[in-house]
Amino acid sequence: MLFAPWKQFQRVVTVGGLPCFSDTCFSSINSRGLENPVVNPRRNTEECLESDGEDEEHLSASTRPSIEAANALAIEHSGWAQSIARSVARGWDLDWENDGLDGAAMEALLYCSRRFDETRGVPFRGYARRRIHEAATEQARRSKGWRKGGASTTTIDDQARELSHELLAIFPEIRTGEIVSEDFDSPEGATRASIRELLMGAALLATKDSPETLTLEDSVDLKRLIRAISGLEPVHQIILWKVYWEGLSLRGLAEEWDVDGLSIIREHKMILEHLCRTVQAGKQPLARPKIRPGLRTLSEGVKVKGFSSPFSSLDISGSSP
Amino acid sequence: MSDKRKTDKIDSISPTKGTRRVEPTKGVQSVGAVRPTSGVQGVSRVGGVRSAERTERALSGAERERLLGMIQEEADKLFPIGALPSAQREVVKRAVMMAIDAGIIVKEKEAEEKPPTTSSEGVSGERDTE
Repeated sequence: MLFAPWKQFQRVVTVGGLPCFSDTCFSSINSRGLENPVVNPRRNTEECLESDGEDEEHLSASTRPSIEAANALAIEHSGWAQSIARSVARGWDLDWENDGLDGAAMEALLYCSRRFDETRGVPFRGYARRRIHEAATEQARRSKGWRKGGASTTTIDDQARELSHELLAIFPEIRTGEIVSEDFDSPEGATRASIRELLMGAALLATKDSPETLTLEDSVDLKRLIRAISGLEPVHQIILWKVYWEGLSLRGLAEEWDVDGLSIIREHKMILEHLCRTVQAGKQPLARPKIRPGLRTLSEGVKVKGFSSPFSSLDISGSSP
Repeated sequence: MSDKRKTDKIDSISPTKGTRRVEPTKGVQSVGAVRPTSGVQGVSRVGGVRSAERTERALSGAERERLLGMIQEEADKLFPIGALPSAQREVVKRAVMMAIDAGIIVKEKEAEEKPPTTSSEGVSGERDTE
């Protein structure tokens, strides 16, 4: 099926020289499952906690933007939404048009423009960016280009692409470009700290997906990382296991444990920082991080019940080449 | 040889005055009953940091290159040889580069930022979905 969102968009908006999306345009979008245009099972960070549920619950008839206002927003930001689609395509070496990222971004833009509530004091781009990015990445995953492996066909690139998608789910702040802070050039700045956390998160995911046939040397390297994890507090080990090995979101984990989501998110950040330091320190042992007050009761409960590390069951045995 | 120094003699010690009557302590008046609190008011929901309000930042091409170089540097520092299997180290580094590159907006020509005009109607994308 040919799908030319920008063409359709242009045709609709220029009727009579005025912006005038018809309701049929939006109803067709909704009929294609865009009531919630992106389904991401691991939306889990502070941003999700801040914004989830705000769309429908708080959007009363009085705060819903008029069709004219929504159309104006969509027109104003269409170029920006295209930029997001192009970014996703560039990152994964896809074709932003042929792989349908432009259409997905446009649909999300329309969705957001219809639901944007300016009385809440959030700028439109801040409200819509993550949603548009999610729509583009989900479309990318379904595209032919993704299945073919993009322009590159190396195994490393294929694995890296899958891993990067998982990273977006665990660290959604990447979607909004928050990784890049103003202290761009500072050697110990927030940007570099964020990069280190991402690298460690990716290393954990890669460890989970490590091939069954490892060389002896590789297994020794992996065991070092597993040993560093095994030295953590039991509750910290459980967090890592649930998020990286079982695929549970940080938010889902917070719900499961009935604790504040931010506690889990901050604990997770602290664990990654500690692992980074441990890996860099080599054999020199470091004091394991303390448990934050929000999780202490839970931690005591884990210890009382008796804890056996899930990482001890990992079989990382290499063979001589 | 006698000590000719004169010493000041103490003539007399005035008698200690008798202790007057110690006044009895008064009884402790009754302690008022502790009133029960009327319930601590719940903390109103913290709105959290509005990350949505942060400014949009588009990087230039040179900044993007620097950022990707930074990932390379940090990966080399964090995972020196022996810290992670070599193949995995490369996958991890590439994955982080891809994820970050897919999330940043790079400044492009202004013309490309504008909505497509009628002249670009010929550009269409075939949607490749399963």
